[in-house]
Amino acid sequence: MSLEENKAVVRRFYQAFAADDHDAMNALLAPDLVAYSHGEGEPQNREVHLQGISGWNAAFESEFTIEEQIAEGDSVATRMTSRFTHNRGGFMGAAPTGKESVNDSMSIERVKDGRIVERRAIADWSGIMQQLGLVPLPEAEH
Amino acid sequence: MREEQNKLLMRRFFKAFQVGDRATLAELLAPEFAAHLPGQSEPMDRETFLQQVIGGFSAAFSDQQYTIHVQIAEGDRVATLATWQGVHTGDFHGHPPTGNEIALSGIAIDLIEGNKIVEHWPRHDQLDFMQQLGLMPEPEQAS
Repeated sequence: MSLEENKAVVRRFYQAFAADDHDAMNALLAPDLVAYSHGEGEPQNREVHLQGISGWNAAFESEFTIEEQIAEGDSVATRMTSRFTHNRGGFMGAAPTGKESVNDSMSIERVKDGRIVERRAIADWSGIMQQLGLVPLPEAEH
Repeated sequence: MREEQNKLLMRRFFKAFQVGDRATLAELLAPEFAAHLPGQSEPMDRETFLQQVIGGFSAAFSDQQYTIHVQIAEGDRVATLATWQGVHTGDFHGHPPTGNEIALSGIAIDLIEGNKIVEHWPRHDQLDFMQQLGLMPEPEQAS
């Protein structure tokens, strides 16, 4: 796989996340995926990671605008503008408000044979939760 | 190879950051340096970055250490995944020292031109940071 193909795999993953397209996410995430939602700490397997995304998508509409990607070997770093709108469902007991957050976030993915085998996502969750009016803070889901 | 030089430059940057070495940082940051910090609509210039970020961290945290896990370089850009550690032994923007040992993972993307850093995009989980500083309630554990 070329660097450009690896970048495209990551872009397709974010499209599938925003569309809550689990067939596409299953195709793009390797069965033995290791996901770190806060960069380090306890990793999630694919099933738990997808459950987290489902839970998020049940409450929020997400839109990811890819700003830049940097690739080397099997790794891809992505910087994106993430727009979340709390318009779908309740989140940790808070009813949807229609509020929106716009933040810059980043991730690093490792891609093997066209599938993501490892991902680390970093976002400013305090900024996102403040913009969504969800402070005092409930647990950040991922 | 330009990519390897750029990675080396970024390792020097994080090494200088952790000891608050403003002289080295002033050499590594281009005059037109811009830091894109979370929650700020306008980028921060070099002098402000050196005074507020480097100066602020040096005053508030001792034993700062960056552990670099991954560097990804392509062209004139470098992405760095690192864990920063420090002990909160001084005043941090009005928050008195807690003695807490803090560890935080983040990703930085840097644009390098003419062997100097011109754009810096650091991202970490500010919520996690404030919780470790005792400024936010800890989240409930998921059941």
